[in-house]
Amino acid sequence: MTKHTLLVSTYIMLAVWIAYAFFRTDKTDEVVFSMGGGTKEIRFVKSLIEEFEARNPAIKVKLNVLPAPTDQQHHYYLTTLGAKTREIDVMRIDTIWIAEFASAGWLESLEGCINPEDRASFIPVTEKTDVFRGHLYAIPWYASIGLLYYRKDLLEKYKLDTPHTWDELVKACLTISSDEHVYGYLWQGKQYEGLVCNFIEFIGSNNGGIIDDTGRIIVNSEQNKIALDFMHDLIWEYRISPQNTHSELMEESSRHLFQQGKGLFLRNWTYVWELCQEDPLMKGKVGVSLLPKFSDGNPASVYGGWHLAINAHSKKKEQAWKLIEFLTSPEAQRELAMNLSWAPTRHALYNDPELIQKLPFLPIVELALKDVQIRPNLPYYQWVSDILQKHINRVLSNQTGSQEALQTIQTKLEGIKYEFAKD
Amino acid sequence: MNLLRTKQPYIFLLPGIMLVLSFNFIPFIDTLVISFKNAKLILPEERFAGFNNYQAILTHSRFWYSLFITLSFTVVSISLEAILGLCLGLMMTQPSPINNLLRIMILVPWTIPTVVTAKMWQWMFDYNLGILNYLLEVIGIHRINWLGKPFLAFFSIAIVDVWKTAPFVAIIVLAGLSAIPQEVYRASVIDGTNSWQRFRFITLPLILPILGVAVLFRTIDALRIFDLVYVLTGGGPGGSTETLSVYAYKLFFYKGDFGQGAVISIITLLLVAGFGYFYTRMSFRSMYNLS
Repeated sequence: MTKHTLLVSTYIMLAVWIAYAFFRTDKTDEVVFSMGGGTKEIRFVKSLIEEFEARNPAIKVKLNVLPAPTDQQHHYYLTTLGAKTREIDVMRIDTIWIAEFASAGWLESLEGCINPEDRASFIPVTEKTDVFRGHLYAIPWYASIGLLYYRKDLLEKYKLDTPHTWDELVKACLTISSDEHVYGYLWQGKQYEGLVCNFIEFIGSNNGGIIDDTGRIIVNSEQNKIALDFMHDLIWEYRISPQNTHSELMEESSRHLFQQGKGLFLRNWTYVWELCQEDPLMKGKVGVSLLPKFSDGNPASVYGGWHLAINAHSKKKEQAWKLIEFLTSPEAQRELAMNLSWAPTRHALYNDPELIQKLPFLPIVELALKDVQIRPNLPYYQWVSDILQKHINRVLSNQTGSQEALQTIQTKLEGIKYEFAKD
Repeated sequence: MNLLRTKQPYIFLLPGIMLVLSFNFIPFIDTLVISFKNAKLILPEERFAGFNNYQAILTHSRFWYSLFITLSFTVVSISLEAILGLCLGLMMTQPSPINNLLRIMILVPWTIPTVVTAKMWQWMFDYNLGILNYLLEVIGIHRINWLGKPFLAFFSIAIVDVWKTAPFVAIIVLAGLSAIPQEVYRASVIDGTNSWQRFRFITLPLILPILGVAVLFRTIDALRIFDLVYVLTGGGPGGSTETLSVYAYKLFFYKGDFGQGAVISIITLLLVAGFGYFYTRMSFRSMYNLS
């Protein structure tokens, strides 16, 4: 008899547990806000959320913290949103995911939520990155762009100006780096998303591009070849970029080298400024400017902002929008800029004297944002990126020539475009 | 009561059956079904696609290249692991205080989670700050970019895999060695054998079946190698170290192409199952021949 009691009670417990797990979710009325980031960022966002809850006593917000690496967040959204979850309401997404998620039907259109004046107060790039097939799907929360960081102290010591062209940068590196035992130029060349950003900046500064406004693929061009050859030569010809640029340099590994005093110039995102100011070794020694250009080009920076969107399957869309409205409001963005150095996405904040004093690079960000390069705003961007990563990296690691690589990329991208035109 | 008694075995079996069904069988069928669909996440709905995914994968040179890399990796790393594991196992077979300590220490690499291992080696391989290049410079050799050239990167990944899993082979070999009765050795000593002959004609044949089990486990793991490659090279430089699992991961979680990703998963499964089947057949046959 005891055996049976044990068995029956096990099954009853199992049934109760399953029933609990099944009905549990309907009982919560919290708005779930999902984001990944560093500890400091999460802590500050939590305090902002508390402020939001104090102003809107009817809404409770739960922060769902994701791992910091971007590709793991992408992975998380693919599996959860792909399964049509209702347990996420608001999410922080990368600019390159907007078209992808919107095309899959995971994002709620925000056309009806925002009024035109408010919409116009955001930086103009919003209309390119957040709009997919005529609908607005996300609101930019903070901007991040590629910038040139340089060692002010070393340039002053050798009486050199901040370089405006790549030639000047190479010259400065060749003059300084061997005497000071530093690498000349650090950038991101490993086979990953960061390489695509760097590539777009190099070709953009030589009037090149990947896809033109009409959707035509223009990778295989003379301008792009010059720029790609230059990337290769930085490592192998001038030898001013480390030999492991193509195998190990990512945002963080290049930043570590720079912050340890082992680099003269560094291409990196906006977040590096604050870290250099906090570092006793680097404080006061680091300057920031626009990236250099080729002699007949213009400086080109890639846009890498983070945006807020609403899950199309959310049951609390109204509350979710209120949260987005609050988090992207000028005052919240001001707080975020003051405390986390997040570059705002509202025009007006770039003229705030107190902010400029705290973040001296803001005028440069504003300047770069005027003509910022964006990665192709396509639902199949990950396919495009995958091909670019692989074949550019093959050039950097001497496995193929630049002409051949650009030809391959051109053919493959045309193939993908054709493939998706069918679907 | 009677009813309960006849049904009783099934009630006890039910949790097990449910586990197998929900975690093995249903996902497998699901994967199989998806592999015949155009299931890209960016498309709002899935559509039946026949053999399109299979055709796309099998005619893509990238698949054949990653298959080649996976198989080469398996052959290289498993051979090194088997030889090294056998040596280590033989070394530790005599009970002594030093060997007891060794047996514990040697297992440490195997107990570390693979991702942690990969991160650790990433630091050691680092061109600028890594200890390997530091040591090379101390003895006056130029720095090496361990992960920077296709062949070298492949080799570096294999070395880490060997470092991590040779101890596993060693421990299994050790268990096999302790199962060999001492009488056999004593008898052979009386027959006047030397130590090489004892190893060649007694130890090796008796240890082979269990070494085979270790190799089987390791091969199944090696055919699915993912974490080391993902962390150390991300498939680079220029896609030259991309294994089947890394390719599948990119299809699934970068591109959200579940159809083609499922095809790679099915092919990996066939590969592993085929090898397992072939291997067990072989070892059963050799056991028969022995007796």
